[in-house]
Formats: sequence, structure tokens, C-alpha cells
Amino acid sequence: MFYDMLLRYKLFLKYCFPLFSIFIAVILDRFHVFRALPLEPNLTFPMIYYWTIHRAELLPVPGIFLAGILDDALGGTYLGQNTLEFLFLYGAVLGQRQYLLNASFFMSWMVLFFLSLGLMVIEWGIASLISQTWLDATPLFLENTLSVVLYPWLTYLLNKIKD
Amino acid sequence: MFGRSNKPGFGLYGRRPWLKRAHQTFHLYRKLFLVFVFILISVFTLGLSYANIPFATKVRVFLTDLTTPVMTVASIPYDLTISTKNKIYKWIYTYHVLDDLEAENVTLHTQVNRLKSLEDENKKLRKLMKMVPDRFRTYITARIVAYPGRPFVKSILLNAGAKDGVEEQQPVLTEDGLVGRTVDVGDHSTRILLITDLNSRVPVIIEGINEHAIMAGDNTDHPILKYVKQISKIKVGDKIKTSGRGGVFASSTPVGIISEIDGATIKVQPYVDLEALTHVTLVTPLVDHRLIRME
Repeated sequence: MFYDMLLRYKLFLKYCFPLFSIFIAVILDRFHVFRALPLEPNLTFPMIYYWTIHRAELLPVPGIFLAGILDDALGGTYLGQNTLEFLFLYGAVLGQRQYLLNASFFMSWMVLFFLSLGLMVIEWGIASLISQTWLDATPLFLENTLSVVLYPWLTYLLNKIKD
Repeated sequence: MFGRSNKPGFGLYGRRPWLKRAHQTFHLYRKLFLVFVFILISVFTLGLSYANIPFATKVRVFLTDLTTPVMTVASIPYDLTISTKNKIYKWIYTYHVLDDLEAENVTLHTQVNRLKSLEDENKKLRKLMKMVPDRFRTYITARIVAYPGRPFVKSILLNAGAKDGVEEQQPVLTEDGLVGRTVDVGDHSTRILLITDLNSRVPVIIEGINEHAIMAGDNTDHPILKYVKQISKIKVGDKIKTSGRGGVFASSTPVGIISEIDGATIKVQPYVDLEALTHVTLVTPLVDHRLIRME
């Protein structure tokens, strides 16, 4: 009985973890954990990328939407601004999931880099459109690049948790 | 026979792999269609939020209120690490700091005595002039629970809200100078728009030449001065303080110093290190002390 309950609990955690970890990443992005560095990496979008490839069936679209809305609410951006970015990333990876599942890690890493450039253009475009001025995209580019650079460590950690 | 089986070719789809592929493709396209629908919802939400529809603001405030306790708890280990680091730092440099403090104490004692006599004189003069007593401000100190998330937004989240007496458009300070103003106020959380944010505008005055200007954030660490008439008279190192125009910021609050002049672009270095903030002080609206006495 107890073992059965424990097993169910473990299974429940296993099913919830991908989405839960994305919400945790959204909250962690609000702390200056890496304050020593001149830039802060973004944990959320590599996390969405990883889980969409490996556990897409456990990532419901409304969950990604809610994570984006929470990110906007906590980050002070207009509601829907980062949500769009998350959904674009999710949709793009979902479409190429079979290819990415069978691709080498290096290839998957490169795809993340190019996707981060695409996301940067989307975020910069929306922010520039809203503020009606050409914003400097350099900090965003550096932040996204730093997130991509840290992706192997994140993958290592998530692989351990996943297995 | 009809259930799932581990034997190859006898699974849910039997000997029909095309059915499995069709099923997977259907699920993929169904999910992609759902993504498309939610992208449309996001665009609609963005439009509502941009148009400052009260409902969108309420949703934002509700979400920040909901997550503030989580953020407060989550920030405890981080705050503990920082405070331990500071304690170790203080412990190492105690002797050096003590020497400096003793010297400072002597200077401050002299200044306090001088200020006391000035205060007495001020009171007497006010009485002679039959001056209406000044209204005073009250202060609320709150802890920061979330920092700016993305490069295009410079705002912070506090763990105090309307139930603690916070209101919208209140100036936010530290002992060093101006930090920003309150924008979204929930019951238990408040968002502060920093002076470096693109949407921030602060009416300021340049000390020495008494030149009025508007300090505008540009998402960098150095806001710029706009609408300056006498650029030639301004030099690097000039002090900037609030002018009090507009009624949001009280006059003479220290803001920063001019750090760079490049043609018509004048950059300001704020006194406050906005990246290293842990606590801030919110200045409540002016309160008439005579009303408080009546209460």
C-alpha cells in the first residue's frame, strides 16, 4: 500500500517535473544569482528547448502560455510579450522534434544558438515596436549567447534528473 | 489480442505502422494548431496590456501578489549568502573601519552641535514669521524580492503593497539617492520603475547653474539629460538633484552626477548602485501633521 503510494507519488513528480522546472526557471531568472558576471543568463528558454525535445508530451501548450504570462508579470514586461517568445520556441522545436531527438548534441546545441538568434529578433522587434524606438540589442544578444554557452551544463543536469 | 503487446508488430497499431505514423502526425498538427491559437491569444493579451486595459493590469498585479510569498521564501538562501559574505567582509576589515569611524565621529559631533543651534534658531525665526508648519512625509522600508528579468525592462519587485500603505507614483529612495517610482501596486507587492528604464522621466536640476532638465532612462546604467538649454555651462562631475516639478518627486533628492558629455548627449551616473540593492525606502505622499494630531 505504502510502496504503491510512493510509486504513484514518484510517477506524479516525474510527470509534473518538466513544466514545474520551467516555472522554477522563470522565478530563478528574477534573482541575480550570477551577480558576479556582467550579464545574467536566461534559464527559461534553454529549459523549454530541452524539455520540448525530450518530454514534449509532458509540456501542455497552456502550461507554456502560463509560464510566459508569469514571466511577463514578474519581469515587468507587457503581458504576452515573453509569452509569444516562449510559444514560438515551443512551436519551432515541436515541428522539428523527431530530427532533434536523433541529432547529435553538437547539432542540437547549434540549433539552439540559431533559435536564440531568432528569439532575440522577436523580443527586440516587439520591445522596439512597443517603445517606438530602435533599442540596443547588444545586451540581449550577449545574454542569449551566455545562456546558449551554459546549455551543456544545463543538459547534463537535466539528463541526470530525467533518468 | 487487441491490447498492447511487447511483441513486434502486435502493438496498439497491430501490423499497421502507417496508422501509428498517421496518429503521431495528427497529434503533432493538433498541438501545433494549439500553439498557433495560444500565439493569437498572446497577441491579443499583449494588445490589451499595451492599451493599459485595467483588466490586464489587475491580472499582472494578481500574479505578482500570488508569487511574492514564493519569491520571498526563495530569496532567503540568496540573502543569507550575501549577508554572510558582508559579515565576513566586515569582520576582516573591522580595525580599518574602526579607525575611519572614530575620525568621522569627531567630525559628526561638531556638525550635530552646529545643527542643533541652527535648528533652534530656525524654530525661533519661524515663530517670529508666523510661518505655517511644514507638512512632512512618512517612510516605508521594503525588501526587494525580484530583479529586472530582461534587458529591455528595468524594474524591481518589492514585498510591500497597498496593505502596507504603498500607493502608485510614490518616489523610492535609498540613503544614497533616488531609485525610481512605484508603478503597479498590489495588496502585498509593488513594482518599481527604476530611473534607468526607458519609460522613466524625472524632472531634475543641475546644481551650481540651476538649470532644469528631464532625466530620461535609456535602459543603460547611465540615464541621459534632455531639454537642457545651457549645455556649454555643464561640466562632468556636476551634481544632479530632483527639481520637484510635476509633484511626484520631492525637490532636492540627490540623483547622481554628470559622467559624460558627448555633444548634446549628457549622461548621468546615478548615486545608487541599482544592481546591488536589497532594501529601499518608499516615501509616502505628503501628510498634514495637524490631521494626525487630531486623530
